[in-house]
Amino acid sequence: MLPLQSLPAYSLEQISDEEFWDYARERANVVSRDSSRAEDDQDQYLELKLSSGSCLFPLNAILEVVPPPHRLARLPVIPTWMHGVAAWRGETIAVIDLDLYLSDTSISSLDGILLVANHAELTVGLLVPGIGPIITVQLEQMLPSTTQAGMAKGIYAGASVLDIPALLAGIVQQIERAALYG
Amino acid sequence: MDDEKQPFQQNELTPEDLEVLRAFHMLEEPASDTPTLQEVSQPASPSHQPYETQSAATMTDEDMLVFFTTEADEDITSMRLALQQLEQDERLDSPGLVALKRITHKMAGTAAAIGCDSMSTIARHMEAIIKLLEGGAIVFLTGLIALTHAVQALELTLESIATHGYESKNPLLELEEEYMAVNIDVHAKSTPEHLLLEDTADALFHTASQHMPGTYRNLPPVNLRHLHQLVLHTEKLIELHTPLGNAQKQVETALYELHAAQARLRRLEPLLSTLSVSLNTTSNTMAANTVHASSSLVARILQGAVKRTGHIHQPESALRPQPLPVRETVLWDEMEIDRFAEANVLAHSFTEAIADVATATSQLHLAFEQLNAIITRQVDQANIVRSNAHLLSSTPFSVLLTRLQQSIELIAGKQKGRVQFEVSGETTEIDQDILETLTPPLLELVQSSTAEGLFFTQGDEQRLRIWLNAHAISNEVSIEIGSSLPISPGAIAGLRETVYELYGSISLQDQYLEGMVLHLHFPRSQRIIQGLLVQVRDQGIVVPFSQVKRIYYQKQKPGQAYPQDEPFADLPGIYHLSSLLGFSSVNKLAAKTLRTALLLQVDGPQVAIEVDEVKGEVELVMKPLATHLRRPGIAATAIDGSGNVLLVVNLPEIVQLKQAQRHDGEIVTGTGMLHHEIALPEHTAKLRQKILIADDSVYIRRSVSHTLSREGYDVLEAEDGIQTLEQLSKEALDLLLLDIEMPNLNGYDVLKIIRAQQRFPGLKIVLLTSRSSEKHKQRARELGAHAYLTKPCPQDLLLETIRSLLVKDEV
Amino acid sequence: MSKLVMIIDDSLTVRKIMETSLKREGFASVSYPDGIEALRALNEHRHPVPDLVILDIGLPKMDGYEVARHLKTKQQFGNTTIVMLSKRDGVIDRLKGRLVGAKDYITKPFRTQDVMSVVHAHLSSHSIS
Repeated sequence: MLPLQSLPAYSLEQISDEEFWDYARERANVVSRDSSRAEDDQDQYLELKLSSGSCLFPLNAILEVVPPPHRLARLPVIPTWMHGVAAWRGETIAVIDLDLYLSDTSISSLDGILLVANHAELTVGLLVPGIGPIITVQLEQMLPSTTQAGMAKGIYAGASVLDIPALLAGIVQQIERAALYG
Repeated sequence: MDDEKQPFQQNELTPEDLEVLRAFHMLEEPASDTPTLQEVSQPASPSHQPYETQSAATMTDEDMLVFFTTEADEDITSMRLALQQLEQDERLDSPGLVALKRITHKMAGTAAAIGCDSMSTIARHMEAIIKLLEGGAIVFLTGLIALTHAVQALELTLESIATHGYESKNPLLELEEEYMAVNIDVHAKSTPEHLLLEDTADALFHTASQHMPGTYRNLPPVNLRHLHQLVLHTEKLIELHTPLGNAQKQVETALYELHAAQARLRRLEPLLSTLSVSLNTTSNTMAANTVHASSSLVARILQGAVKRTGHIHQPESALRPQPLPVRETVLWDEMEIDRFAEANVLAHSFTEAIADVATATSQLHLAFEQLNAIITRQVDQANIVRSNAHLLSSTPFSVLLTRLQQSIELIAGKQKGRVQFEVSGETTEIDQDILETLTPPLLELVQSSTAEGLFFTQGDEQRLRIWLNAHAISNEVSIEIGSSLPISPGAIAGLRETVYELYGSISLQDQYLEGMVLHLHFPRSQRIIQGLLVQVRDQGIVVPFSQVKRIYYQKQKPGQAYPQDEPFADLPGIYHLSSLLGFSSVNKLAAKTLRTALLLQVDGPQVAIEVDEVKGEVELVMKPLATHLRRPGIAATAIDGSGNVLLVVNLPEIVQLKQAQRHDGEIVTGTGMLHHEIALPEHTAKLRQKILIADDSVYIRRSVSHTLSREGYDVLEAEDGIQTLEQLSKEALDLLLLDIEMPNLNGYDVLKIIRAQQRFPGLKIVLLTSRSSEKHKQRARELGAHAYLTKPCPQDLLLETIRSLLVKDEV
Repeated sequence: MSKLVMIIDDSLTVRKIMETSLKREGFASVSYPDGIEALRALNEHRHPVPDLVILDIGLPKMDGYEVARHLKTKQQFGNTTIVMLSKRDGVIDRLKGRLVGAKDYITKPFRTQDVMSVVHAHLSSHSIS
């Protein structure tokens, strides 16, 4: 069996035809498996640099990455960490300062990048100062999280791995409460 | 709570209770005036808990929730006990059922009051099931199980509130699914209860065995003609697909041809350059213009082609042909005959190539125009289809009218002849969904009014008149409901809620002896909103047409500072939309010369909303906001062409809420959030200073009153000199704002009288008048006024003067 | 000299909500969990006469109609406006209420602003009825 890691180019020429087809088929299977699994050992995460440190954001929760400028409209009685609402693909979504929400301090401004995040029926716009590289996370190497109760699944390489369902649910719930309780 | 011993024994009166009743009936009429509130004392023998006092005011909503969860918990426990009792007794007349009825009713009301709609709905389902049980519509066991599951659902929902702080809808949804699976219909309208009243009442109502026909959901018939039109036009739309495809193909072909022609031209280019070098020596006297002309002609053709097709052509500037002028004669040279022939041929092909490009370009032009024409036809046809579809979802008003008439007749029963029911505008087409939403509250309103009207005017010859009218103007539907007898405010509340949901407005007009008229306005469609686009700060807001009666404009001098709520001439009650919405209110110098305000369609006194600018009319698709983004008065948004979010507001609702908050002090911070200032605590109530504004102008009185009461003063009004003196002797005033020009004793005379009487030593008097000469000021001072202000007086000056005068008082 | 509103409802939460809102509107309020408590308090010599009574129908011991009937037998409550809290489809309830002397009704479940607008409508200084 050929190793799944990609072979150097010259060796591809040297293997027999049959071996080559087998190899190709395997690679194809790996690719399709990659795209069909939801939670697996290897996941793609986007690194975000916030004032409190680095965070890892799962790619599969991001619907779109929107660069500035952003057109925001104000809404009455909203939490301090919410900038307002914006139009995205015909929908009106809340835009919040992720940094401010997580840590009460913020380095981001309206010139930041807008991550349109989604889980189940909830779509929320998260404004971040900037985005970093995409990292592949080996989930078994993740350490349990100590801070940011409920928002982070764990810590990986010094960065908090965000739990998107919990994050979005919490955000939405607090936006709703702001209307009731001022 | 010590009356929780056995929940189902609560309905019996203890001997002690009977004692209370007897004592009550022995109460004598008091001889003197009723005591004022300060004298309320605690009950002498608090064997039960004392009733709650005004301490409720300082509770926050969090506390409310805690209260509610405690109470709800207790109620759920009682429910379980009642269910147990019911199960043991295995009979419908078990006390457990009675208790259960009461507790579920209480739970439904309480949960709804605090905003837990899920729990309220579950409780109402329970009430419905109990009714079904009593009516024999479902088997005992099934009902019991259904009720048990409902209690479980209540518990789960309560738990979710306690753990997460918000209601989970899951238990309710699962419960409803279960009921559907078992065929329990919790929404079936109940039959009218059997009335156990005096005989006279019985005569009015039928017994429980009859159903009200209007209560079942009637499906209005589909208008076949409309459907036919829709089908026809849709077919036409589809028929356009083929010519569209053809036109597109033609454009493609023409484009292809153009490219080919351009390519040919380009291929000739290198040949030209070689030729031009050799020819250069012999023909450098060639007319520069022709060279330029041809080269520029070619350049222009190619440029034109580029513009039309957007196809970036390779450097045309490189093409620097120095072609042979076609008509010029050339010096013949023996050596060059061959080359000349060659050049000639080349020139010829070149000309052809240019002509090809020109032809291809014009072909492309043509094909493009054809395509555009077809697209326009398609768009028009699509519009027709859309309005057809719209019409299809509309029903004539007569459908609702029929149901209303039926239910009125049913209620009137034998007294049918006494009711005069008039309708007009039956053919008005109204969107089906809107009509269905409006029907229940309208039915209820009309039923209640009729029932009460008939019942309380029995034996009267007078007939009860009810009339309805509907008409639609472009995108607005108006419905008027008139009754010869007054309609109570409570009856309108339910209808009001529905109208607000429809982005409409409702107002009540009292015709005094003739009864009352209700006016409803709402937009024709719930998906497309037509309204005014107004600018507030830097944001666009859409106000549906149905809510606006008129637009007011007022000129003002630029550079004049305008505090937000300074009265608009003729419009005493005005709010600025930005402060209504809680956006930061910045006092700035008005750079513009026009103030704009919208007059709303509301009950009672006029309300106007000031905006920064009215940008125009819009018609946009409106989408409801996600639940967490909804705010009072804002439930949907529209997106304009540039991708901006425009809030679609319900102004009457917002104003109503704002008026309810009148007594709280509100501060708006820079972030746009509303903070509630705690209302003045009781003990400073005595320190509220009383000011009397005496002026014959209503507008002045209102605006001064508004300004001063916001500052925390108690304000009283007087219209003329006599009223001023009356008020002076009745109330202990701290300050008097006196106008000079008043009927029935002018300001000066009032001053003289006050000075002569010498009864009010501590009273501070400020003269507020339009006369500003020194002579008048002198006179005022002689007569004892403490300050003199000329109208119009800026708010801050007025407040400052009052403040400084009253401060001197407190020594 | 603010008007006094009396609330009789078996739910503590409802009583608290109403009291808070009424206070915000500038009204004084007292509340009781049932009719007997209310009557007991009114028996007290110097208890002021309420200007408006908000009465729930489904009360323990004595239902709302009974309470209203008792109240209306005494002349000193002749000017007191009674508003009943009734169910959504309760045309009959409302009629019963009117028979015992209630002047208006509010449907349950209610929105606080609806209650306030009804209270204002009946208690504002220039209401004629």
